[in-house]
Amino acid sequence: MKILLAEADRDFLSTFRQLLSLDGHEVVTVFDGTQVITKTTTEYFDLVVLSHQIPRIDCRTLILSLSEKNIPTIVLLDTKISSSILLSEILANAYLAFPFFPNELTELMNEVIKCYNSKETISISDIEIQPSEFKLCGKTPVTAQEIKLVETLIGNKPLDAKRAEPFINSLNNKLEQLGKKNRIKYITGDGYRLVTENG
Amino acid sequence: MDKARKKFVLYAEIAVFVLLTVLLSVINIVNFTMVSEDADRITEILANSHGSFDRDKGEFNDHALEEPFAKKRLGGFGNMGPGSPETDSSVRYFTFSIDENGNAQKVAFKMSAYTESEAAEWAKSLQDGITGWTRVNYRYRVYRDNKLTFVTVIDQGRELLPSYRILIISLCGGAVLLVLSMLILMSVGKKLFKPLEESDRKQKQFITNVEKEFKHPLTIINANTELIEKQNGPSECTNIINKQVKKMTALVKDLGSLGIFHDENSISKINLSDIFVRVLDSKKDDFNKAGIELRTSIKPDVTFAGDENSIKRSVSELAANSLKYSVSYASFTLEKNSDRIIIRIENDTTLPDGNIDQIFDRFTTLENAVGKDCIGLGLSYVKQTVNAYNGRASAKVNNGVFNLKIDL
Repeated sequence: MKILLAEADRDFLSTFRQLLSLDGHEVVTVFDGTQVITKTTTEYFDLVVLSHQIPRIDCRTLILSLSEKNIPTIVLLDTKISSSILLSEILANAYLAFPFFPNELTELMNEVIKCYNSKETISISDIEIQPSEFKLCGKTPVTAQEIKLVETLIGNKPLDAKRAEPFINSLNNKLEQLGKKNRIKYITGDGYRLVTENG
Repeated sequence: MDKARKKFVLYAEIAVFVLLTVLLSVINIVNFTMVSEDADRITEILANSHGSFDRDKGEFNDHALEEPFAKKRLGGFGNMGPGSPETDSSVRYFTFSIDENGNAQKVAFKMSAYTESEAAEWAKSLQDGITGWTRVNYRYRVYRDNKLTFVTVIDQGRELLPSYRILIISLCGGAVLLVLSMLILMSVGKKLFKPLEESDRKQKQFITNVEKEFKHPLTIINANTELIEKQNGPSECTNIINKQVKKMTALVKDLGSLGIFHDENSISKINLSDIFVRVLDSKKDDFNKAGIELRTSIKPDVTFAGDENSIKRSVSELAANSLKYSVSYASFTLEKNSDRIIIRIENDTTLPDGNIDQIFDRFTTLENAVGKDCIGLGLSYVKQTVNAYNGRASAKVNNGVFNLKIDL
């Protein structure tokens, strides 16, 4: 995988360039927003990992530009992943909050690429997710973590409730906005389940 | 801090209101009481003079005027009050005697506002009383002599008018003073709290900055440790670095919660019972593994208006605290009494008996925390959440049982 790593902290760039290279990835590093635009215009990348506080160009503009170029994006946040971030119209394909462990980043990268390359549609009840487009019911943008959450629920797999919480809340909000009856709810003794609400 | 300032202004204003009310009430009550006493003094003089000030009748009792005040004539201040020698000629009054058959006989009549017949009827209506005010500004006295009942009524309109003026001035002045004091307190409050608000803002900013400044380095240290392990294999040093980085990561995340622990923009009606059930359910396996019996008594459908995230976090901290420090059992109770929500956590403990409210202080751990991975922020978070909703939290140990009570 060819990855563009964009962060103002040079130590971060140096460390993660080496780590990701050891995993077999080709890593190009830049330290401001204008370089992101330049590089992605002249070179092909499978993925961009971008810090939210990247200087020169704001993150929102960069996400839009990368989305138009069809390049999947992971944004690294200094704050917690909150509903306000996950419910914004301009959405990256995944978010990861500092501080994180290297394996969290690599797992997320794999998840994003898996979604991007997926040719399938995830369907349950009247919900449809197109992973390759990161879209819910063809309209609402969703992140790779939200897609993974739905897959986990469909497969009845165990869920890390603490980490999944912001995504549970944002998904429920998005389903409500779309007028869908499905919600992710906690069932005593059974854990989180995707249920259909009455009425 | 804004809340604290408004509370200060409110309580100070209440104090001003109470003080003003007490002071002005005392002044007015004393004033009206003294007017009543003066009026009673005059009716008493009349009663002792068989109901008449008429000296020509020979019944006027000069001795009635020989009261201490009349004797103490301090120059120009002497001729004041009911004992003044001018009293008999300045007071407007009437006295009627009423026999057993209810017939009223005029004893003395010196009044312009009523006719004699009106006064006679008036006197008859008062004969069962003793003394008091009648028709707003008239004072009366009833006394008996042989088989006759005497009713004396005096006009105190001129004496009462200044008292009513004082009352109206008190009310208006009091209202104006209240408004002025409110304005002064609001202005003083702003100045007084400005340094505190600034300090509070700086503290939050500091925590946010510390949180931010730690996050990146921790990520980089961790990543470099992994790089070293990948290049040279794991070692004791890298294991220790990993362990300490995990600890610091948890501390930074906790510090972050302290900075912005309560999002006032996300207040909604939440089902507290649901949250308790969910959190305790998720911890059931952990309690089992630790050999701790988990007892719960959660009243269903207890709702609360608050920020769901901070409430969930607080319940998790309470559960984590019990899991860490219980010996053989932990009990969680959620109940609602009228409009109060009571949360009780109880577990056996090795701590000595006593009040242990200090466990809610930041970075405070007790002797039973030795050897446990604990930095003393969890219950501090809980306390701050409780305070944000004007609740109370308390903790004590009684006969080897730890009791934590939250009242919301």
